Amino acid sequence: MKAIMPISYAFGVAAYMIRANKLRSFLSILGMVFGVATLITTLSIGEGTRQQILRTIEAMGSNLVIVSPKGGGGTTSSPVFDLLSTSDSESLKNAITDIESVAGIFNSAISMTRGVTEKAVYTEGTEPSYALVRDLVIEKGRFITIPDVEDASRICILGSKTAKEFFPNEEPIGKTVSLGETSFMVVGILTEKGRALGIDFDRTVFVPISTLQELTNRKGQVSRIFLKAVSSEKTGNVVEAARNILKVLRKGRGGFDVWDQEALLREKNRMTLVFKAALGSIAMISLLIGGIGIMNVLLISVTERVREIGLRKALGASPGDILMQFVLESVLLSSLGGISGVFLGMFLGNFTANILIKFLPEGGQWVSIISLNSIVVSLAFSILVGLLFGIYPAFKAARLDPCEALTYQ
Amino acid sequence: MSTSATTLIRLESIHKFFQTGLTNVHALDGIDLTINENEFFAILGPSGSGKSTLLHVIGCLTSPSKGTYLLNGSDVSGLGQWNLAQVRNHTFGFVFQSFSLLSSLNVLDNVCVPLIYGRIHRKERHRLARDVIGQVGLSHREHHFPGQLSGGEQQRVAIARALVSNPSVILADEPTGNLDSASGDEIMRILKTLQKQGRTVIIVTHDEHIAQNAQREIHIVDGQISVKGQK
Ligand SMILES: Nc1ncnc2c1ncn2[C@@H]1O[C@H](COP(=O)(O)OP(=O)(O)OP(=O)(O)O)[C@@H](O)[C@H]1O
Ligand SMILES: [Mg+2]
Repeated sequence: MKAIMPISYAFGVAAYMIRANKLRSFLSILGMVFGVATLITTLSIGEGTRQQILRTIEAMGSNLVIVSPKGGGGTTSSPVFDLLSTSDSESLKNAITDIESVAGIFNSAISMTRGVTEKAVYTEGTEPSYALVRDLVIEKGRFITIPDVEDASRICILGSKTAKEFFPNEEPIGKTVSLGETSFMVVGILTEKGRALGIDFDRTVFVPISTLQELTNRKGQVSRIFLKAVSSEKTGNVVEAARNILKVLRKGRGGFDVWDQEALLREKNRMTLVFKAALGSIAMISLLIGGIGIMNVLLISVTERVREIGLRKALGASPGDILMQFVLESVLLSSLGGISGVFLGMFLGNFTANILIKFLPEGGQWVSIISLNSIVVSLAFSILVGLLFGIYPAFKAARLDPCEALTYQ
Repeated sequence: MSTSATTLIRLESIHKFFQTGLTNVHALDGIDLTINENEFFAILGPSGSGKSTLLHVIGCLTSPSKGTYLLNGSDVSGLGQWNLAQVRNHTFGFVFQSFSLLSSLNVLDNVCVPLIYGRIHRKERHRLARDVIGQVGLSHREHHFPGQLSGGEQQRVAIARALVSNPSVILADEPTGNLDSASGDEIMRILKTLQKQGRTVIIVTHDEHIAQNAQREIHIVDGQISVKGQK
């Protein structure tokens, strides 16, 4: 003799009761649906934000320390008095020990033309070491070389999207484009990289720093200096050292910023996790409240079905059989709520992502990421809630005296 | 009645109290009773006298507050809830006045319910159920729902359900109470056949005419046996 009745039968009865009381079942799982939806939305937005931050860190180049004139920008279009110089860059390179490489850039917005295609492009004049510092990967051709800088060669390297825009149907390497009035030969194309620090690498044009300084009549001027520390632990030291050196060089005058954006981003990433955990716990609490909703409905159901329970017991149902039937009904209800909640959460997550994307700069990526993990966690939690809150009503039903249940009016 | 009859049920000074709020109802007040195997036995008495309560005690739906109940010679007071469920499932078949079919299930599924709690497989369940539905002459109604059947037909379904796990005792609480006399007679005819097949049949009724079918009857008044009758 088996100790329990066929699960499929108890399942069938539970499914029937849920279907027979559609509206009530629906109302009972509503709390559950919103609890799970909140959980999924929170987790997916949190995960999306986190991955966005991680991508930014990756695109930025790791262990990066940035020196810029005060006021952040330093593009030639906005006059900045205290521009950095090539000699600052040299001094930093020679004086700081914990760095792998240093690269200065001089940037400018210039109009680029080829045939009928004309467009203002963001141009960075830089040195060979820049590829290493910013983790730039060459897809075709080459990057800037030392002779290029020494000779102020008229060569350029194109970001992937700019290359496609200007050379939709032909091979760009070896062809020429005009930057301003001057002709440049394309010698390299970068692989797609995305955005970092407000710059879309895929739409940037790289030229030797000396060439751009010459063309814009700003010999020796540098808009930013990038230092790559040997490890992330050393970035703090590098920031400190760069500050001290620049202070000495400028005899105590300020006028520059030294910062380590990666550290900021890592902090932001940590905050995202905290945010996920905090909102996640709130969602879990709403799930528990959802469980109470299910319990209420089950208690009503037990009261309404006293006669049926008594009859089933008279026909041979053991307390265990009745217990199982009601627990199963509860679990079925809560899983239904959980599954609906996952779908609603996916929808809300995408919806929120689509709104957030409008606040990002053009080309910004923002997706809601629903991990299998978060679905499994939500469903497991809703089943657990069903079990937890189903047990009390189920016990009440199982303990009913069949005789009293049968004479119950 | 032959003296060699085997004792099936033996009640010794059974009492049953119901405590509802402040009032304490003494529903059974010292019942001594012996019922033999294969007897057709009737319990009569006015409303509220304790007939149903006695039947429930006999059927192990409730335990007596005081007294001894020997079923097949063994004391049932020692049985736990799970074993009592087994006894209800295998030894007794219940028929109630109000039919008590599950309105959401068709005839076949209603009759199958005791077999489910008896852990019988689906195929076997259907075979056994069809067999007893045939015995009460409702094979053509297998897939009908209770609401689509007459009172007499519903009671026949209830009898089929009581029979399906092949119990040795049929307990019927006013099985004809809600039926017209023609349907009532049909039910009594079926119950008599069951007894002829070797089962013990115990019915509760307040109708002397119905009790005529029984071989032996008792009258209960205020929870006590007032008259024992042998026919
Ligand atoms: N579950 C219960 N709780 C409280 N009191 C009960 C319960 N069941 C029965 N009683 C009381 O016990 C007494 C006997 O009830 P019982 O149902 O056995 O009478 P009966 O002879 O079957 O009556 P009827 O012919 O109306 O069915 C009544 O006073 C009834 O109110
Ligand atoms: Mg009664």
